[in-house]
Amino acid sequence: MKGLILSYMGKKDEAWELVKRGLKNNLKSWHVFGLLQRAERKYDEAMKAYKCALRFESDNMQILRDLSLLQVQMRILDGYRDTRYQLLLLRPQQKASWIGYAMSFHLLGDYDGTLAILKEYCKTQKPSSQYDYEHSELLLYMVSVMLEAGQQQAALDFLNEHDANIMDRTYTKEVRARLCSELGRLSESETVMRELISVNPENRAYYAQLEELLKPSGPVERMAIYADLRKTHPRAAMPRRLPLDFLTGDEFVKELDNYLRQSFHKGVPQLFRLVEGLYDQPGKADVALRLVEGYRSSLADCGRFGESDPASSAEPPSTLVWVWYYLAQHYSKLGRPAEALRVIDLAIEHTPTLTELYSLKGQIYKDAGDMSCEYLKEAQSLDTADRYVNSVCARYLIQAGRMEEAEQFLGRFTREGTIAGEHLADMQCMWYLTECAASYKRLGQYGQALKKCHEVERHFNEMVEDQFDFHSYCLRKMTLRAYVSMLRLEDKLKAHPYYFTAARLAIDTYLMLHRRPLDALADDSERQKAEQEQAARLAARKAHNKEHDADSDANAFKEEALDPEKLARTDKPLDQAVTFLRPLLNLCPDSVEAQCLGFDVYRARQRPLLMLRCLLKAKSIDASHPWLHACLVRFLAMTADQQGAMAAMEPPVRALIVQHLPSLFGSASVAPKAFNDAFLAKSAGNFVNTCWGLRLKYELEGSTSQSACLAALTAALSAGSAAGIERQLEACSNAYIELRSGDLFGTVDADNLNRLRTQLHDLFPYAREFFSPTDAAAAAAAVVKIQPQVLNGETSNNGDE
Amino acid sequence: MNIRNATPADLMNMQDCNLQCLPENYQMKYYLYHGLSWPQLSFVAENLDGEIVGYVLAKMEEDPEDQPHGHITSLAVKRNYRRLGIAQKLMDQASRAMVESFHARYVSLHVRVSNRAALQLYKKTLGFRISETEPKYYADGEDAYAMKRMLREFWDKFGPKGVDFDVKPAKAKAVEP
Repeated sequence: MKGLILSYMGKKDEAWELVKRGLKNNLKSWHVFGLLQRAERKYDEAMKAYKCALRFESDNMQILRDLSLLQVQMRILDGYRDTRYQLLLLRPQQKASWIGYAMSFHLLGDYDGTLAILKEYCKTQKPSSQYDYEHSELLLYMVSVMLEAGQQQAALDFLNEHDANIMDRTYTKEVRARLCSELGRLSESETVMRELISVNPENRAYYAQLEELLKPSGPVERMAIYADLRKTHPRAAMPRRLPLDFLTGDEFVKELDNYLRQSFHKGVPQLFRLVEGLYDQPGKADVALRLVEGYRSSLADCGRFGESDPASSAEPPSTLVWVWYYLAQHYSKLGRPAEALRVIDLAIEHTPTLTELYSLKGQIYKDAGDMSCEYLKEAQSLDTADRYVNSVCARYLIQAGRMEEAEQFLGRFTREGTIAGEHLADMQCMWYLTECAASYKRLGQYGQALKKCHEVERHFNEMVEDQFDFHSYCLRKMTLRAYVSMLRLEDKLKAHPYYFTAARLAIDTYLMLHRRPLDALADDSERQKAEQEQAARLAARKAHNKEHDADSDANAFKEEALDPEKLARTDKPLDQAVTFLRPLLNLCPDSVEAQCLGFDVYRARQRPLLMLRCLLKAKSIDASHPWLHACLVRFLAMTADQQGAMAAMEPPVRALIVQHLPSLFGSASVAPKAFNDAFLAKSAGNFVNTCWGLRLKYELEGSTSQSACLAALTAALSAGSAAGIERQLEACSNAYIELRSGDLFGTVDADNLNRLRTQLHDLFPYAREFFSPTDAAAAAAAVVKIQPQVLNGETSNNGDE
Repeated sequence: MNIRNATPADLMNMQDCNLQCLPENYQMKYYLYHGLSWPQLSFVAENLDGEIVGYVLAKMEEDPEDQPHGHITSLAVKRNYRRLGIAQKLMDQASRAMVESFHARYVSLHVRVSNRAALQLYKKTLGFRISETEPKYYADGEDAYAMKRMLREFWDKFGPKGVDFDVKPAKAKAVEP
């Protein structure tokens, strides 16, 4: 007991001492031992301890309950069911005993079991009043189980029988609509869907379901549905936007014209983003441009959308500003930054106090390759109270590698007395951590990058921990549908895009460090700087803790602090890579990138069968992906190495590899060079694929192929200017950066580099990556001049309307 | 803009949106607490790419003094998504759910006294009234207005039949059993 109390006061070592002594003297201390293990997240040990404790006290409710929580946390579902059964036997009068027991069956997929138990329980229950939220939730939980079990008629009957006691009408309607539709009662389903649309006319899914029910035969009938809905819901946005997706021809032009005019009149900044999705459909981007350019000239001439519009329909001056705003976004998306900038400057001249205009101008520059961020800072200075503008500005600064400036900006909205970055890391701020990780990696600060990736990983692990308290909480509160939904989410939490981003960065970094480990003694100045920063952080944290967290949670699970230097110089980079990789392979079955990452890792670890498995899986997802092609070529090169890699394999492994070659490559013996050349031939006109193909060509053929590769790259760029290469800035930048660093075609001489740089500069005149050294210096100097004004000047124009 | 009920899968993205838009931030566990105690009440606004551009995080008051009432823990819409009525739509859905599932009679919230744009939304568009000023409510020392909106119209449309909107004041406190 004393040990347990001490552990909560943070005196862990003393606590362990006492507990171990207790165990020697009194075998009943196993329960306490288990609790301490659990607090340190040693779940396997904790479970063993609880089971020991139960051997001496098989009916101890507390131990059984603690064990059950661990079992469901670790998804040991058979054990959970057994423990819950024992709890039910011991306390049949407690509601949670029944609910927990039923839940354990549901988690095992035994729907009939779940329903039987709950029905038995319901027999003994009378809700305290007609409207009892917990009872209502229990009823709806039973309905949800019936739905999962495919017992549609039973679910519908149950809903009808208990209708008077059910409070969540919206969920009820949604279920009813779905059930009626599945049971063929289509008009009933339609009625309910229309009721749902009345309750929330902005729910896109409702419209899709309604269309499924009505089965319109073509665009005309579809349009009729929406025309009707617009009459009953005149202020709803969804029925006005959805038809734009399926209409074509003159109908489309008419609808888009109306939609755009209404939105411009209202002054909707995100109008372009709302309409942008249509640009993928052939011809629609041109229609939009024609219409909007038409408004622009007409508004400039006579203040109306159309020359032939009545004089009474004059638009306020702000309408033209939003039209310019739209056009600037349009041109930027199409890779025409010069035109975009011309238009946005017109808008800025007209209304210099509008924050959005500066944000957009900054974005245009960024998308064109100029990360100087002046305009983002200007935008931020116009609306210092808005954190979103601040976040966007900080994000751009981070992407530009200007980490200290970003900290300054972020610090305007983080707690006083803390270092902004630390505070954001504590608050589980994913966008910040992933952007920093990417930026540090680009800057070559691998330790810092890895630290951020590990912080993301820890936050995800923390979120998995968070569910622990809810295992008992939700059984009391009866919010069982949400609880099950949460459990299933937690099972695949690491499928989230943020985890993927962090994992990918970490894996790439570890692979790089595996190939080229950092010199232990090099970079003394960087080490000193890092140590100073670390010391400053710790000091600030101590000071902050003294002031604010006098009673901080000493019992909180504390992990070892992450040291960038240690991370970057780990002697097991591949083990670390695998830790990040596993969730991606398990939880992202449709991701070809995850499989390719897996291939790269297993290739570094020399595990041919695992490489093969990744290839087969990736091929089944997307056989044409260029990264997959690279993996295939490298695999093929390995199989061609008869004396080396193939000889080192065990015979059964070798046999299996050979067996699969035809399905991967079309025949049992393909030469890597031929395979790659075929890919290159097919990739003419696709710059990204061509880059991959050339990279592999160099890998296969070595430095003799350098001039051929360079020539091919030059040709691809020239050809590309006819084929939309202006939208491929990122691919071109990456290629150029790798050329410079020697990672693409080996060491390239200055003349060739300069020639390519000039070619790229002509294609992307705003991109600083391709500036000549003199131009780059001039640009940097220019930025420095503007900075003092923007940072120091307090806002003179605070209003934004 | 797609407006729908928030699921546990949305909570992390709501946290992300909150960290980008507002200085008052919460740990993930607090979002889970809302989503698992009052699952009907929180809503998100989602753009075509699936990005959460706005959300409302709402709850019922745990210890109501008289009538059941809801409370808005947090509401945010990314600045460049304004003029689409998103905040109003989120608030109306949350209010409707409070009445339907929890029989709330009113909804309350706190807002910074200097936040003119938010005050405009709550007072003019949504019909909130200031009930009092709470000095130094925010971590940076700023005062807050406590505001309140009666949910009569929602009650008439979505409230339970046969239950009085006006809750009789509690008689002398019953002796605790």
